[in-house]
Amino acid sequence: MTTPDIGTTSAPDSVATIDLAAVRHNVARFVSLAEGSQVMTVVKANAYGHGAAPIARAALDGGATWLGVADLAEAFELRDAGITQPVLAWLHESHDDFAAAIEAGIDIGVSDLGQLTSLAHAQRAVGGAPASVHLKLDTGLGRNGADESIWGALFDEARRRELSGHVIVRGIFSHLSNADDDEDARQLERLHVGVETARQSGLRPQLRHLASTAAALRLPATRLDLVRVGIGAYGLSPLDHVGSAELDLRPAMTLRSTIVAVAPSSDADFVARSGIVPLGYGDGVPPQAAGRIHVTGSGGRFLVTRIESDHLVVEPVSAGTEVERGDLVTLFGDTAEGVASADDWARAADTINYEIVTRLGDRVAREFIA
Amino acid sequence: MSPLDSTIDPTGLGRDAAIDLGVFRANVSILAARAVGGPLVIDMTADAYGHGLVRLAHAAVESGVDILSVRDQGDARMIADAGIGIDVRCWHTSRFSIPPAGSGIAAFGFGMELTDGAPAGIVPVMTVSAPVLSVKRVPEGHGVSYGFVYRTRKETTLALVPLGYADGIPRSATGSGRMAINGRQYPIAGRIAMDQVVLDVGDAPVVPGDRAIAFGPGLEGEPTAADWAECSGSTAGEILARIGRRVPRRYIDREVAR
Repeated sequence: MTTPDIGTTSAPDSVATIDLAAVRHNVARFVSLAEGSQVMTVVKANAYGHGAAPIARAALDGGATWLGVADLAEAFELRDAGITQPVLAWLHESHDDFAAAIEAGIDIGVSDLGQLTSLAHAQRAVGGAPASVHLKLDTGLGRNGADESIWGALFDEARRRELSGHVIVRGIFSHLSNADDDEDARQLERLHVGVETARQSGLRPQLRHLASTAAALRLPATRLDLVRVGIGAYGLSPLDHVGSAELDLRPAMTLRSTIVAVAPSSDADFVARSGIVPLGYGDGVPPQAAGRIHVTGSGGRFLVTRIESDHLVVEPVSAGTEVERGDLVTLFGDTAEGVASADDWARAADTINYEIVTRLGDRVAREFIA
Repeated sequence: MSPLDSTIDPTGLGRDAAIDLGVFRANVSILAARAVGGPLVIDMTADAYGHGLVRLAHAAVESGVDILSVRDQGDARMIADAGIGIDVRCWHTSRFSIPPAGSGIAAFGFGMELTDGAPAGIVPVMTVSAPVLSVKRVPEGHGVSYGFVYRTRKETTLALVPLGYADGIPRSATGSGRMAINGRQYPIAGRIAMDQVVLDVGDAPVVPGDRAIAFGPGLEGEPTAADWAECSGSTAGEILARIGRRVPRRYIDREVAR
């Protein structure tokens, strides 16, 4: 991979480079792993901070047949970017703009009767083909999704709306707690019960889906007709104590910046000087990692000693390495290239790799490598 | 300058960061009265701590700020391009300087550190909220969210709120973060997820559409950004600066009586 030309007058000091070949590789890995199941790449939250539209295109190139988002605004963003493939959105207000969603050909994840009614009314107003629905069941996570006590009523109403031409139930899905294998198995069992109940109501859902990245990797029985791959598509592992490389995944994001100034060390006994890097917590770099993480420059590794609103401070860790103004530093990327990973930052900040990449701010330029 | 926004943006699930320019100006006035003899410098790094650089720069000029402190020429250019005539200091310029020691975020309503309170009369400027999307009655012992680190202690109502760590709610506040509905605070049940949290509202008559306030001035029972900082090992500045792109900023201007 080429090093982008950053730190010059024409380019920003800080760049998150997104390797779209890595995304294609990662998605293709799940396509082959899940064999007969389709792959939905989850691109919510601006594709976990990577950039929704470019990631969506790379995922489709890698063999994904579906895209998943949380809310309709995210789905419209994909359509506005000219992406025409199937998109599912599953987090709604009951009075959301379902008419626009139907016109944009977005599949709606429906969690309750109120949403189903709003959707049917919107379809009647819009006309044309029935609105495409995936019914979301709560099989134990306690978030959205229909509570088991209303499954029967929801399925009957959905079937009634199918017969009147307002909706078509394409899928039934749920979301795992990943609490442990027994809980996940129990949730899978509840989903099978739900699908059977739906069939008795006359529904014929083609797509049953439950697994996200962790279950797609570990629990083949949960793959069903489709797997929803989020974190894995970005080359990061959702599993404790298992890194990207062990899963044959390639981290897609590399965050680099520049030492733009050199200052006296905060430690008077230490002759080395500290470097100032213009990335701070306002850019999404977690200050909790200070003192516990290194960046890599051309001459070696530097300890991050402080993280402020708009900059961080680095110091050499060994004699003989000096911070140099203009030196490029890598905060995280693919450990195969000898740099820290998003996993390392997550450990240093007591969080998960998802939060490290997703919260990287808009003020950091994204550069896409085809 | 574009007009104020009296209604919440309905796209993006009604997530909202209301920024009260009247409160900001009142805070600046308090700081100006204390800055006798020297220029009043306001730290506007990190997109004015998530409040929006240009809108806050306008308000700062109106209320007598002398100097705005920003990161770089890009920030300075945004202020100049908006036609705002004010002295802007960049620490990172071609002349190669180092960033100043933090001048504090009292203008935004908070002291420098958790232990260092804001000057008297200072009020937080930003209120982050979202509507309850759904409620669900569940029995005792019901696991909630990833890993089931939370189980309900009795039969209760769970309320789903579309604010997660992608929106800036720190995941490390799992187990301690709270949000307010109708003036009462409720604990977050289980892990804070990327797009949502679940509140355990007990037997309160919460219905979809009720607004859940993540933080605000703290004057009507809601938590403040400092409360979130305390329960996530962070600072109020970080909480404010890291509110995400899916939360539209909405500018209001309430009359502030002092």
